[in-house]
Amino acid sequence: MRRLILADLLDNSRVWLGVLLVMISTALVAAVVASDIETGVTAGGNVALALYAISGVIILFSAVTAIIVLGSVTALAVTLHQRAYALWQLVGFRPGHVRAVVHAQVAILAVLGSGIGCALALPAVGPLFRFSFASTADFDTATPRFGVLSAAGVVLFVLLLAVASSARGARRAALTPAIATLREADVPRVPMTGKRWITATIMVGLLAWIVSTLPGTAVERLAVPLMLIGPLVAGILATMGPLFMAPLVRAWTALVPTTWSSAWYLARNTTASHISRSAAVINPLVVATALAGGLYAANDTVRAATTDAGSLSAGTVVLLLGGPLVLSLVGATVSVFMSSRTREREVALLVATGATWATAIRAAVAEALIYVGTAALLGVAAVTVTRIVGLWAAGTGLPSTVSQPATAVAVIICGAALLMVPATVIPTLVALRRNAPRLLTGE
Amino acid sequence: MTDHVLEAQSVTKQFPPVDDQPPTPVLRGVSLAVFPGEFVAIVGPSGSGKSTLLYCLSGLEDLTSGEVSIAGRRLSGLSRRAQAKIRRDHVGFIFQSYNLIPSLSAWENVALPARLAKRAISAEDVSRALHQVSLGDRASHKPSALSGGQQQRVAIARVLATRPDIVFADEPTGALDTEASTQVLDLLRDVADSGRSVVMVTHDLQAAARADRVLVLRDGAIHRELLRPTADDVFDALAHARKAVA
Repeated sequence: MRRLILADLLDNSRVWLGVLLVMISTALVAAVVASDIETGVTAGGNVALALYAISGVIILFSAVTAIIVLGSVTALAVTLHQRAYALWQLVGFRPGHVRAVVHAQVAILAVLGSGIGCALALPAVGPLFRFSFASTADFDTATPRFGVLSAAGVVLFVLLLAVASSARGARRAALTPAIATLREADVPRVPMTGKRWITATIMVGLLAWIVSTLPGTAVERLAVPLMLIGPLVAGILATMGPLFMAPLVRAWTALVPTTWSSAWYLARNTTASHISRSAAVINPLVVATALAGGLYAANDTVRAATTDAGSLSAGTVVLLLGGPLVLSLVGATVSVFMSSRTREREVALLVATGATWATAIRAAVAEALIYVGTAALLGVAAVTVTRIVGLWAAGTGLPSTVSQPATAVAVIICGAALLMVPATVIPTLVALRRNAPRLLTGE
Repeated sequence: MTDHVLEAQSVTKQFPPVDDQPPTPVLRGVSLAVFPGEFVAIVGPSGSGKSTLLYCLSGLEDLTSGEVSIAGRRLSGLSRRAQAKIRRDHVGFIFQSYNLIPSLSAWENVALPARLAKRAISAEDVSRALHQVSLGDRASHKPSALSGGQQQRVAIARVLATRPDIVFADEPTGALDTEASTQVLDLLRDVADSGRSVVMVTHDLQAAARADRVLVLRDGAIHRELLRPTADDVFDALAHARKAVA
């Protein structure tokens, strides 16, 4: 079994490297939080109180992001591995063995990734702390710390999160019907399972509870609960994705008539048809958009209702959102990279069918734009919910401007597009340079 | 104006050296011509270069030396775009598997080459092609919902709908049962009888015996050429080729 776990990790390095990168990013984010907590414990007093409060918010943002990103990425890894799992069962592995192997692989990567993440965080936490709290009184005397205990906590946190996030994927791997999957030429569609319904119901309940506590809350205290609404809505949308994601992609991409562009036609069908693969890319981008837009929407609401509230400093934004945003964008990019082997055969087939290189590359660009466009639609929906709830809770009229949340959303969308286009185009270029017959004959 | 649809002259192919080993010669000066409406089968022992020859002839694999022309146009020296245009306008492919774009339905796969070429193709043409391969009721199915034989027949429907001058088929019955194989071979025979050419690589003697001409490949060169052979003739020629290799 040990040999199989390691051999599979090495043989499918493209897929597992993606998972490892997400683990490293998660560990980096967790290390920043752990460092803040350790610094607070050492400093004591007001510094400690402020750091605990800030860490609580970051932990919440990061945990929601990490669960969605890690869940999506590990589920994608399992999905891309279905044929291998089917073969293992054919040669005598019991479902329990398959589940154990998946858990072991994820655990190995979690420990390795969190170790690397902690090592990378060591030189970074100090400068980041000073940048984030540059304008905050009392913090100039605090010395940022990140010791062995914090590092151990990070490793444990990432390990628990990874194993919990991969539980769904591991169970699916174990339940893979061997023959059906061997015949399956496509990545199977993830259904709206009972567990998804339960998770979505819990999140909707949490959202309803937060909203119900808002009336009567002092306006200046609304910012934090409002900030949580965006990520929660993003979580609900990600969980309920199997219900609406494919129809949504088909609906909005139909705005471009299919007769206008073969590339758009191909990309539209690819993203809607491989919806599990697409969701792994879209969900992290929705989280990123909802976090950034939601933060500014919450702050805007408070600013509109009070006169003494200031604008968000760069340090605050980096501290609150830097980690979750990096994690989301890494997750989305890595998801595209992980599934690029599937792309190679499709590109080869397109070339054999008479597509030019330009058509194949344009289709890759269109695919990236469809990912980003879908994420933008859902992200804006999450930000709009934050905005509406904020206006209702604060009892103010419509704000005169929505420039800050809109700018935040625009920045995230443009940044995502800048990452997604090379993420789809580079593997396509690699595939175009590969030997088409060998890809199509499966050699 | 040329009277053959495919012509190859002194085609050689070497695979590049690996780990200080010399380059591996795969094809050694193959020359052949295929005429309109002709069904040509290529057979040979394992490793004789059958599939490599097919991909060199179709322009999917670069030649080391020699010349290939399709519909009177030489492939060497052409840009990738020009080669893609030739494939779109003159060539159809049927592979052993992975024939269809997984995200497109059977109907959309059949219409794809015309769409890529920005050529008008009517819904009736696509539906007729699917009905010809007895899959009219599977038009909206994705490849993953079709059996191997049905996928091969969709690939043939694609050929029927786009009417290329020449069809290259690499082991089209290799993964099929006897009944599905017979259906696929009947359809390929129909394609040739309708005036288009078919070049098929196969290891199936019965499949080869459906061809007008069988080329027996040995060590990357044409060892024998059989006209309208029986399966026994192909078996004898292959046995002779294997003996010569041994």
